[in-house]
Amino acid sequence: MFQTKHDILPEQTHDEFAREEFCGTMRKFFTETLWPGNNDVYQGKQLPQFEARHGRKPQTRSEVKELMEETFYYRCSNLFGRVAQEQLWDTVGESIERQLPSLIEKARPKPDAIGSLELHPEMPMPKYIESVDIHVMPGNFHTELCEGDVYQGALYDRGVYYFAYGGMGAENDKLGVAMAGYVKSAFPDFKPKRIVDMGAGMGFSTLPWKDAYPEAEVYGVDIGAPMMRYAHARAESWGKKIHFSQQNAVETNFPDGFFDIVTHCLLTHEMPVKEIQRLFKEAYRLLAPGGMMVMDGGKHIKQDPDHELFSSWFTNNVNEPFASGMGRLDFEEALVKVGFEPDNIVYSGPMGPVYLKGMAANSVSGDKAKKQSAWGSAYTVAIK
Amino acid sequence: MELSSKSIAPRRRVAKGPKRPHYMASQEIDKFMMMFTSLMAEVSALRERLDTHEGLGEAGKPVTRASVEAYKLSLPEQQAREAARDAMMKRVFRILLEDLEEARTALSTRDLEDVLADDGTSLAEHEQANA
Repeated sequence: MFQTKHDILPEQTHDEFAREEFCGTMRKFFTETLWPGNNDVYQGKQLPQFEARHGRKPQTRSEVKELMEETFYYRCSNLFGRVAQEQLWDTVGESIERQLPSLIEKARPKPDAIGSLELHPEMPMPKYIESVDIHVMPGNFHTELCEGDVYQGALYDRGVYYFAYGGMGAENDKLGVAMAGYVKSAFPDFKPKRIVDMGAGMGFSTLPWKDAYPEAEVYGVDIGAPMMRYAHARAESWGKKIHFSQQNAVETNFPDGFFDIVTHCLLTHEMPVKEIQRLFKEAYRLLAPGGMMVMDGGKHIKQDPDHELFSSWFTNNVNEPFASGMGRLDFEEALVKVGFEPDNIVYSGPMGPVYLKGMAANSVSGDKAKKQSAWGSAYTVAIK
Repeated sequence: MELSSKSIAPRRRVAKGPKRPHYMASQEIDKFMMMFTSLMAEVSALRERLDTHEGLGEAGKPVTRASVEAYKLSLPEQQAREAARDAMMKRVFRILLEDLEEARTALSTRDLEDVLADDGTSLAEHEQANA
C-alpha cells in the first residue's frame, strides 16, 4: 500500500523511501512478533519460576517488571521497540528537511480556500507540551523551525503512516472513520450542525467527520501551529472544507453551546490528568443541549498486573508519561464531575486491556471498523 | 513426486547441546543496537536499489540514476519487498526468537505418556527400552 498523495505530502528519493519502508517493517516486527512474545515469555518461563520461588503469582506491576527484566528477551525486545520508534522519526524527517522550503510555500493559505486557518502565535504553551516530546517525536506538535513552518505536521503525517505500517489506512484516517461510523450507526437520528475535533494534529481524525456529516460545519483545534498549517493545506488539497485553529483544547475561543459534537481521538493519553479534566469541562461548556462528547476509550476495567505492565509499554518506553494516569482515570467519574449525568454516558464496550495502537489499527477493517474503535475496542459518548 | 512447500516442516533453527556462553551485559549495547538497526536500514535500501536495477533490466530499460529515481514500484513489487524485509528481520533476530521459541515450548503441559502414544508406544515399553 502507498500513502495517498496530497499537495504537501513530502516526496522521497528512491533510498529515502526504502529506509522509510524499513522503519515500517521494524514497527511491524516489534508490534506483531516481539511485543506479544513477552506474554509467552511471562507465561511460559517467568511465571512458573516465580510461582516455584514464592508459591504465589506476582501481585503488582513492578513485581512483574522485575521478573521480566531478568530475561534477555524482555530487555532486548523493549530496546528494539524504542530503537524502532526513534529511527522512524529520524528517517522520515530526512526527506522533509530537504524539501521544507517548498512545503512551506505550498502550505500558505490561498485566497480561494474553502476552509480556514486561524493561528495564535501569542498563545503560551503549557509546560507539559514544552517539557516532553510525546512519542519521542523530536519537536513534539508545536516546535517551529521557521516562519510558516509545517515540519512537525509533515513529520507526523508521514511518521504515523509508518508507525502503524499502513494500518491507519492510505489516508491515515481509519481511527476517525471508525469513530464517526460508530456515532452514525449508534445514533442514526442525530444530525449535528457543528463538530469540533480537539487535538486534531494534521487532521487525520477530523476529515472523516466531514465525510460522515457533509452538511455539518467541521472544526479542528490543535496546540501546534505547524500541525494546523499542514492540516489546512492537506484538507484544502482534498477539497474538504474544515476550519482549523491553533488553540489549547482546554480553553478555546468558541462560544458556549456552539457544537453538537466535541470529539477527540488519541488525545487524552498525551495529557496529564488535570488537563484531561479541563478538557472535559471545556467540552461540556461547548456542547449545545443534546450534544455529545465522543472519545476513544471505554469503560474503565481493572487489569491483571502483567497486562498492566505490557499495556503500558508506550508509557515506559517511548515518552508517553501521562498515559498511565489516563489509564487509571475513571472517565465516568471525571465526566460526572464536570456536569454530565451518569445516565447520559454511553460506552460501546469496556476499555480493552491492550493498548498498542499499530497492532489494534491493523486488526480492525471493513464493517467491523464501523462498530469498533481501532484501539481499546471502545468509545465513550457523553450526552449533555 | 515434487514436494509442495506446505508439506515440508520448517527447518529447526535451534541446536541442541550445552548452553551458549554468556557474553555482554553492558548498557552501551543499547547504543550499538541503534547503530545496528540503522545499518540494517542501509543494507535494506541498498538491496531494494538492486531490486530496482533488476526491475529496469527485466523491462529492457537503461539503468541510470534518473531511471532509478523515476522507477514506479508496483503494488506486487512493494509487497514482495516487504516480505523480503520481514524475512530479513527473522534471520537477523533469530537469536531473540530462539528465546521466544524456548518459552513457548515450555508452555507444553503434555505428559511423556501422551507424547509416546502419538507414536504407538506405551510408557512401559519406553521404560523397558531405556532400562
